[in-house]
Amino acid sequence: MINQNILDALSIAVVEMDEDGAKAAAQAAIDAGMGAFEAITEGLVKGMNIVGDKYEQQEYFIPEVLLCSDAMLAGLEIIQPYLPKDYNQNAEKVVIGVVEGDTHDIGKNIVKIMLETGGFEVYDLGRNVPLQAFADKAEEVGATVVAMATLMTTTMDGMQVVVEELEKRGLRDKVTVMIGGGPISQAFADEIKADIYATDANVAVRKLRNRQTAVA
Amino acid sequence: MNVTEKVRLKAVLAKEKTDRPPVICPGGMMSAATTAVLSDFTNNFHNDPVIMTKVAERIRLNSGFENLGVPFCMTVEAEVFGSTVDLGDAGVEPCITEYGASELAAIIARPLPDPLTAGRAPVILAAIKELAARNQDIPIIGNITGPISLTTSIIDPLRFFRLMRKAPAEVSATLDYVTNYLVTFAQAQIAAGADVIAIADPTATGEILGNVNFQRFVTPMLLRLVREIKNAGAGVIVHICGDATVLLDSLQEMKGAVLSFDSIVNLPKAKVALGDIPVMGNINTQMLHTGEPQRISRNVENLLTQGIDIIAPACGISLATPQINLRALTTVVKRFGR
Repeated sequence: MINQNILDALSIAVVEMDEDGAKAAAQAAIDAGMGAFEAITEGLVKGMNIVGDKYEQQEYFIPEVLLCSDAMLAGLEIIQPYLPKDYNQNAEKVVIGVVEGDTHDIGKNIVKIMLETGGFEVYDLGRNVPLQAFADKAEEVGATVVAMATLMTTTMDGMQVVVEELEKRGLRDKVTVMIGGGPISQAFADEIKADIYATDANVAVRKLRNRQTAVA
Repeated sequence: MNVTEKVRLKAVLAKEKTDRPPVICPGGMMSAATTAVLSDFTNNFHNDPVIMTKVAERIRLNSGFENLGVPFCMTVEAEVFGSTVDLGDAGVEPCITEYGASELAAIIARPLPDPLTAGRAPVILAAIKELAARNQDIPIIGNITGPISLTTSIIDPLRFFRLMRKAPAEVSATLDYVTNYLVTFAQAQIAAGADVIAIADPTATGEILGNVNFQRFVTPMLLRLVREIKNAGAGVIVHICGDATVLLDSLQEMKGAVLSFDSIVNLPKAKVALGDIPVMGNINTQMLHTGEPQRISRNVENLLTQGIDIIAPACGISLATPQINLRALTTVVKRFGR
């Protein structure tokens, strides 16, 4: 197989939720001596970007997105050992979690998958996360993004507490605060001084990337 | 003629003319058991039938909703299937803390639970019985968790969603099995005195599943539940969360139920698409939590002039919702047409 065909095969396997296909294409990439980084970004991740678009356009839904990400991870597992050790050392660090009082984490988990696919290093605090923990973790790992989700109106006010805590610790300027979830709106994001409101996982990644381009 | 709350709601369910729409809050996922109500009671509102009965009656008195509804959570059925539940307190709703199964096969392997004996189901049944005995003119609404939400409260949702594509036959069989239980639980609630059963399946949304999956996995279960509940002599409300616009074609099949929608759905449009199926909704629950009473009143007036069949909150109510806002909702409906 020539390299472009291998890259296409990687991308198509991800889009078609084909774990075995992704593994085979990943092995083909290694056998052909292709750069591991290229195989990931131009093959697997490119496929996952298509998946993100299909999700946003309501062609794919959660079950499909999950299986696509499984296919991507299966390919990644084969390619990863060939990556240079420092390939992702400039990755932005994201702390993510569902705020305290809420245990609904389907949306957060999808965002996490799409962020990891998009090259972010994600620290997942899980669900029902004590509000202090967001700033604690961000400080500990030097995160530049804090992402919070909630599905409940009861718990959304907790997001403001996190923003204020980041301010108190002098971290606010270094951290982009992104929020999302059922009851969240742009108006609410403005009100609590969050930087980004994302309506779904794909939008979340795109808005974070756009902000990288704007900064660079 | 003096129209009682029960007569009015039953008339709407039977597609008959009434003096005005009822204003209700079924319970279950859509419960008005807010902190303002619960803090007057000791902590056993989710597992003591006497306290549950009193809370249900207090909700109606404080808010003005024209029904009594139990339970106040969506964890009763999952607990019966082995999940661990934290019952919370006046400020925190009950939630699942540990899933009861890691594989679908483990769910089916469990003997079908008996609603008369297993878990907190008997608590709900006792409360319904007491409510029905004490309130003859008020409709009693029993609540069940929809099959997808129940199954994803028993096993990890992300695992379940993958299996929808990887093992669709097994997923259907599991949904069928838990629906068997839901049928018996609903029948037991009706036997205890429930006039109406409300089904809420917040995980079965258009956004999460899409129309194709909804039609394949959700519609058959809901149709069976609606049929069985009607056969047992009660009315049925089916609440669909999120943006149900993509599901309207599938939902046309839901004859015999009232369909309740989230605030994102345009109810007049839904009514057109759904023909003579009564439509319920859909006061934004965030507005109920943080909005001004006047704004709530205006929204209710809009729904009334649009001819919406039953006025209700659009989804689950925040525990922090002020009583005055719920009052604003119900008062406008009760004044309508006078």
